[in-house]
Amino acid sequence: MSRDDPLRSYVSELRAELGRHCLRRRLVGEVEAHLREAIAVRVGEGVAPDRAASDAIESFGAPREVAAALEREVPGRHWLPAVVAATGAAMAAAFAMLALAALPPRESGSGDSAPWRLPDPDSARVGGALLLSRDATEVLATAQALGRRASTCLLRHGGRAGPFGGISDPSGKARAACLALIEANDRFLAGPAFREVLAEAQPRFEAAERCVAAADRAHDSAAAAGSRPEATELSSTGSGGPCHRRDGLPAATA
Amino acid sequence: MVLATLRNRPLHGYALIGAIRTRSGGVFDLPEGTVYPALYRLERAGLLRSKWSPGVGRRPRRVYELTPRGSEMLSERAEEWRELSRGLTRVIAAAS
Repeated sequence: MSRDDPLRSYVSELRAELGRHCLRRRLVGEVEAHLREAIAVRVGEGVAPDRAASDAIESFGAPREVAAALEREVPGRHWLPAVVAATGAAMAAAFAMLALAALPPRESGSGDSAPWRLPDPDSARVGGALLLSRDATEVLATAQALGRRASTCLLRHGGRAGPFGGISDPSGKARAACLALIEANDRFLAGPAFREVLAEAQPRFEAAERCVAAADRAHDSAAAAGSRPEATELSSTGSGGPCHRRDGLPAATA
Repeated sequence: MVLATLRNRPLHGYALIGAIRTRSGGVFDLPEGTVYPALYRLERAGLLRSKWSPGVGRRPRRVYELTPRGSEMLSERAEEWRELSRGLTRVIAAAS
C-alpha cells in the first residue's frame, strides 16, 4: 500500500466533514502538508511507511473532531449567494478606489486630462466573489461607501466620468474640493484592515482575471469554429488558480 | 501558549505543535487537529499573521508569526498568568 493512500482517504473525509466552510480549502491544504511532514519524520525515524501514516493521522485527530474545532473557533462562514453579490460589488468599488488612490496628487491646472483608470468591473466582480467572510465583506463595504462618497463629490465638483469608469479632473478643482473625502478613503485603504483583505484577495483576483480571459478565448474559439460556446462554466486556467462562472459565482466552493 | 511559542520566531503549524510539546516537557500534547482552527481564530483577531512560505524541496507551508498586537496581548496575558501562579503557590503553600 502506498503511504499516500490513508492520507488521501483522510483528506477526502476531512473535506467532506468541512462541508462548505469558507476555510475548507485552506485547512485541507495545511492539514495535508502537516501530515506529509509528520509521516516523513516518522519514516526518517525508521517507522514503516504504513505505520507512520496511521500514527500521524491518529495524532492529528478524527476529521469530525477537526471540523467541529473549526466550526467552534471560526463559526458559520459559508458561501451565500447574497454575500457573494454584495462582496463583488464592494470589491469592484474597493479596487476602483485603490486605483484612484495609487495615482499621485494632481496639482491644480496641471493640464493632465487622462482619466483615472479603473479596473474592469466584471473581473473585479468575479474576484470579489472569492471573498466571502463576513469580516472581509464589512471591510469592503466600508471601502465602497468611502469610495462612493469621494466619487460623488468629485463628480459634483466638475469631475468627469471617463470612458473606463474613471474620473478626470483636469483643473484639479474637484480634487481640492473633495480632499477630505479622498484622504479619508486613502487612510482606510492604507490601513491594516483593508491591506489584510487585499493581500488575501489579490492572488484570487488575479487568478479570476486569468480565468475570465481564458474563458473568453475559449468562447471566441468555439464561436469561430461554429460550435455552441458554453455559457457559464469556465475551464481551468492551468495555473492552479480558482475558476469561476461568467455570472461571478465560483464553479467550485473549495 | 501559541502566542508565547511564536514570540521568538515564525513557525508553521507542524513545527509550532512540536515546539509546544517540547517546551512543555510533553505536558501539553495538544490534539494536533485543533491547533489550526485556533490559529485561524488568533489570526482573525489580529494577534497573528500568516503567509505561504516556499520550502526548499518541499510543498509550500503557511508560516505564522506574531503581530504587534499579538505581542502586546502576550505580555498582558503572561503578567496575568504570573499573578495567578503566584497566588496559587501561596494558597497551596499555606495549605500544606
